Amino acid sequence: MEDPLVTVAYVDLALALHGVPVEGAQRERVQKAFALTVDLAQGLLQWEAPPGCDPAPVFEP
Amino acid sequence: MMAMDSIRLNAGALAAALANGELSALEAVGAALDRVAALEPKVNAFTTVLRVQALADAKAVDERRASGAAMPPLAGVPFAVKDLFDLQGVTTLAGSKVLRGQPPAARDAALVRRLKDAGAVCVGALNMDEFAYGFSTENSHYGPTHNPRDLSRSAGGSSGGCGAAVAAGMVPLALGSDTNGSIRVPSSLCGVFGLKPTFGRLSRMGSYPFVAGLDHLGPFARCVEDLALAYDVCQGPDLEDGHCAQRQAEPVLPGLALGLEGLKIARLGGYFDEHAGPLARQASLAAAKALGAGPDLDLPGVAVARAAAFVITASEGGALHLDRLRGAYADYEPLSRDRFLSGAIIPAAWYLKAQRYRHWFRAQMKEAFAKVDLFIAPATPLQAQPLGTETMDINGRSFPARASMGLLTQPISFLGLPVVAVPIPQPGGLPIAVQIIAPPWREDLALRAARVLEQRGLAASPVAELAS
Repeated sequence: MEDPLVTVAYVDLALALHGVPVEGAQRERVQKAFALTVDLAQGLLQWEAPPGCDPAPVFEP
Repeated sequence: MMAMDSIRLNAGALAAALANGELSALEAVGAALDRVAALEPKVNAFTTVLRVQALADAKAVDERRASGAAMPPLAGVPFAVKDLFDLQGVTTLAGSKVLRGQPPAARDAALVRRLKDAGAVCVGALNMDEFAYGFSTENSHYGPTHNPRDLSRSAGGSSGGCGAAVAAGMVPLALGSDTNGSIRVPSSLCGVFGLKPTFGRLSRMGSYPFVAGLDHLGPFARCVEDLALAYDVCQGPDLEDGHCAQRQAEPVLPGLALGLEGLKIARLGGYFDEHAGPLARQASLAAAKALGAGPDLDLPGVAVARAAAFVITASEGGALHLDRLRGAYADYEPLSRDRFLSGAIIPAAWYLKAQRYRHWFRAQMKEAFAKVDLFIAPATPLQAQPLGTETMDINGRSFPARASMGLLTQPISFLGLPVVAVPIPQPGGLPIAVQIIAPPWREDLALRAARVLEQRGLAASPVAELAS
């Protein structure tokens, strides 16, 4: 999703799937906000979770 | 004592003056309300002022005292709350326009009730970033809150009204919320003390949510003793709040004077130095020196922790508001509505990865706390910025100003650790705070260290000098 065109296409599709009627300049601002999220999340997305990191509810002993 | 002098007193001192009969609750609350009326045109810290109700409540305190009844610890002390706490009879707006049509709250939020049970008198609700999504309290619906230390600058956010009201001497105590830094950032920029307790310590019943897994509530004050006083009153289990630990109150006030005996302290370097401007770094170095800290620690993976906190916040915040955004997008804050929508469409795989990272990062921190009792870190990268600032320079790198004031707080609240924000006045300049970070459930340790910084003259929160 680092490709800006992919980001724009993803945002358009996701907004349509969620039924959010934003168009024009409004949609561009959402695309821009999402691009910033993609950029910020890179380190997280490259991180490989070691075994045992799945958060799950457990009863305390 | 002249009633107008009471606005300079901290909560504990004011409670003592009231108990000694130096002034009445009606006079103390009246003085606070007069201060609010005089300064609001400049500061804009409040969204609602409850003048009639507050004066009636103060009168009731005086009547109770006159009857010879035993008085609770904060009898007659004024306080205010961020506009996301329910106040009976008032619509909770959470800084928004879209909630204006909601009915008034049927009862007070749990913490408001606890402060009132301790005798404190609520004078109103305080301004904030809409739905707590921001670090600047530049609210398009209710106007920006101005920093009482320099009215041209931001008070920080999202609990900006809290920081400003306490710094300006409008109230000695306020309650705010902190999801990613919203108590600690305004504490730093306004130069007041703030406590973000351990996740799950204080009841969130009756507060408007933002991110269920990250939201914390806590007090603001102008001295450590007041923070402890308010915190102790607010503690205790609440069966109505599923996120509140069923843990009995562990009062911190009695042990506040224990000092640093037996405590091992270290400063967090690495990421925290890289994202702190020179003054913020100097403040953390000065605090570490005053507390006799050992060698700095470079905690691994902090930048990714901040990114994971961002992803979780955006996802959960976006999901919370998605339904309403479909029909009322235009009524949302322009500074945050696009971020909410962008967050609502973050892939589930990313969100899950962020939660897994949280699990992993918690283990790293647990390991660090095996060797050290308290960590010191700067609270904000820079001092208060002019209102309207879009970007800020941190060590030669440009960052978006509104989102980046939380760069140093987000990785800590991500873990739910207790933190005291301690304001360090700067000669001739604006204050900046350091964070004192403790292991889970050890608010007492962080408050003890904060008290030492206060006693040694490094930390202080004088009432801001504002011509009224």
